[in-house]
Amino acid sequence: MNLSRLSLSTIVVSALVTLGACGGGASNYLSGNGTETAAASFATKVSAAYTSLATSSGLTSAALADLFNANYLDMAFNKTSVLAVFKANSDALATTPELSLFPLAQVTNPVITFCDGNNVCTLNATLVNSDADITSVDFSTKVIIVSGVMYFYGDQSSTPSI
Amino acid sequence: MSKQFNLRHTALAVSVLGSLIAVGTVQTAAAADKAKTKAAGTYVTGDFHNHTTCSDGSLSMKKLIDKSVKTFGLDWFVQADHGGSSARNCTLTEDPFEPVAPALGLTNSATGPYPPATFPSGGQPAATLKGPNQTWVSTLPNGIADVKGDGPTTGAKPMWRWQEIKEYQYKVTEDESRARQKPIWMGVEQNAPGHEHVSTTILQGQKPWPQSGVVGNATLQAQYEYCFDRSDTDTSRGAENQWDCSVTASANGNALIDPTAKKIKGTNGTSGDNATDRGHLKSLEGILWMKEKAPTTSYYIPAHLERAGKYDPVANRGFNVEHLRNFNNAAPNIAFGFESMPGHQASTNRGEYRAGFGGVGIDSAGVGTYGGTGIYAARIGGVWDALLGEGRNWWFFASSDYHNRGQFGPDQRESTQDFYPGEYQKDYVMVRKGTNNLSAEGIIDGLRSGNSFAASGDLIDRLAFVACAANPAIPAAAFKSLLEKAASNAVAKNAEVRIDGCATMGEKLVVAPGADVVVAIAVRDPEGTNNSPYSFPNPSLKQNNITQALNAPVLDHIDVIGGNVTGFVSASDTAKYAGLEGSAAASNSSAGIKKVFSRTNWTAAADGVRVMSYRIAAVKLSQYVRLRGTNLPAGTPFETDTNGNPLNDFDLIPQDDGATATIAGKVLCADAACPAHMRTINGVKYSSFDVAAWADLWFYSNPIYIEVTNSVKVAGVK
Repeated sequence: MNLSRLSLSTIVVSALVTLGACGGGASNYLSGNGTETAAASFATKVSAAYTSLATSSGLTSAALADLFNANYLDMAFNKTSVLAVFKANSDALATTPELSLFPLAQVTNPVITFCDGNNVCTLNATLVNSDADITSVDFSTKVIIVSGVMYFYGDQSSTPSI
Repeated sequence: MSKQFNLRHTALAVSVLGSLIAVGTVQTAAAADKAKTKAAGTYVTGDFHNHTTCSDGSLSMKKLIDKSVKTFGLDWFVQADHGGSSARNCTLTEDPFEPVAPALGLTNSATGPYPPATFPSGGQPAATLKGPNQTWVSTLPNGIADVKGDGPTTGAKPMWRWQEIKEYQYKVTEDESRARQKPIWMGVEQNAPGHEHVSTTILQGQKPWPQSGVVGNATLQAQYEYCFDRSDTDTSRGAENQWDCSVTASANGNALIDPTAKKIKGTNGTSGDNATDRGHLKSLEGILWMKEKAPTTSYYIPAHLERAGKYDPVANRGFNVEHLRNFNNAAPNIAFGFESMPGHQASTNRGEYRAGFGGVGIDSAGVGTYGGTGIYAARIGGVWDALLGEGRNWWFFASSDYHNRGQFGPDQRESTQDFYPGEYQKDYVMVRKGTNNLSAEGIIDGLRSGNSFAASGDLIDRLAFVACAANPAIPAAAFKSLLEKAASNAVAKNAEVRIDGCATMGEKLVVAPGADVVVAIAVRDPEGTNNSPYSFPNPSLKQNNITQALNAPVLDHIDVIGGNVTGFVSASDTAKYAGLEGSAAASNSSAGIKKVFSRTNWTAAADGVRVMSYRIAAVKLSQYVRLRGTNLPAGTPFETDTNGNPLNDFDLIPQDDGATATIAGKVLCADAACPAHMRTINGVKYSSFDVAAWADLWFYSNPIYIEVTNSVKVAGVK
């Protein structure tokens, strides 16, 4: 079963059932307090921020920084180091017109499949680029929901895995 | 293994010569296009170096073309005999053209009798007074009167190659191209003044398929041969052509032009017209001439450049690294690579590389080949890495250099000398579609771009190789998946990855300091059998207790090789600019194997596709990555060292005299089906000749550059 192909409501129900069966406490945001909205909004913000990576202002925008939780950690990248990369690219772009862009993509089909008691959730979605050759892949990552707003949380791995 | 796919898809007087080619004249190569500006393209297979009876080959033009583009299915082909002169008329065809039945095939060598008795033992031509071994004088309407330029007035006067090309060979080539609907055109393997050989083309004027209607000409190619081939000593100025070989942008060669011949006479030497380094100077003048006459439709690619050994300023031998730099400095859009995977792979000494090639004490550089590749490219950190370490556009190519099959006939599948174009080695070159679809111009553009790779024995037949700026806003695992899938999709289409922020072979990725770069690779290890006639187990792998049919090789591993870019070396910096193989000038100490992929860490997909990626973390220095792969595991005795580097083939197959061999080989060919022509000492057969070549397969990709904005600029690639 490809979870990302199911409707969010179906997944929510399934997740609730699963969590219930495990006896764990379902998160607030899987209880109908805006998970769908948070996920959809997050996907939109992510896609917009990704698109903005082609410009110097976009690379240093607050909107981009706001995608990442303060405790974000993914394959040894934390929020500070991620933003440092963007800042370095912004600086380089100002002086090096031939700077290669970051590969850009859109995030579609966001689906939350599991949240723990800390509102750290699993986000399944599809990553699609819009280049001359279009590629799409389904992916899964950790997000965190804080006050109804979703942020990247990362795999919490401090070592490179690839 | 599916075989082919169809398209439709020197311290030379550096202080003198080096200063002639000021670094300031360097031009950058074709741009590393942004994905959106790149037309879709396809990798196509071809070969640009081979011979007919118009020089020292054994076949007619038509038969060689037929073998190359029909039998072995190449998508494009350049007919390129030596310069000089030849008495034989290669435009005549074998009679009969096709082999005596059965057609190409080795019916029963595995079970005997051996050799098959159904082929003309001498091959074609099968009849006397027929075919391409007849002389020009005996076959032209007016005999010797039709043979122009300097030479004897009686007998089988050889025809100068310029006349052969211009008046006879071109028409055959064009007709064959249009009839077969494949780009086939004329080149010349130049006997380079001061050096050994160089594969050249001047396409200007030629009109191969897909052009039609108006007949083209190879006049410029012919003139180049007259003007700059070491063996063309004709002084007639091309008879009625009255050519003048002066170069508008001459370094100083025009001052040496002979008033009668209107070309520089002489070469490296010490007497007569010869002088120290004169040949090399003349070669450089030839490159400048190409640049003037056909700046975008010509190339100059040194052939089997290690074979003749080190450069000698008073003789005509090999190439040192400084000569390659001089060539590239003179015209980077024309002199952009080398044939470091030579032909003659089935020869007694693989590639004909050996001790004493140029006479007593004059060994091939590296003595032998290494896994079939010359030491300039085969040694990590060697000449090629030195040139890449400068950020030059210097690309790797292979060629078959077909002349003959040694003790076998042309329609036999065994060989003790050469493989046909497309039979063993192929160059895979990106050709973009649109207005410049599969055409000679598009193929030359592809060669120049560096977006190409070469493989032997169909080890792989497709490759997508890309380096991308890691986007930290995308979760790392997702980014990896995206790029691996993009590479996989590209291989499925026999194409490249076109994503902004990614660069492929021959291109450069420009990143900010500290960025991560993800390298994604997909290859296809084609299923089924290759062109080898042998299905017995690979004798080299048998040493490792691996049983694998010789004609069904399996890719064992891929090495990702990287090195740092430190910028162009000034010709005035002699210690860094000029030197022999192994010297500081010819080395890049930063180069090494950065990653090894094998079945343990690549993803095996359908159709023999293997997908893999890795991340280069926090790049600080400009650098490059390139690939090589082989069917042989690291530590295969006499083949690879413990790091997977190819060992010297000359040690595997020591120099000997073939049929009268007295020196044992190293790898036994013990299977009952091992053919009789293997080197045999005291009744023991050793892997040799074609079997040794089929046993030891490699591919090499061209590099992707990664330029870090506050580091060294990769000046050779835009």
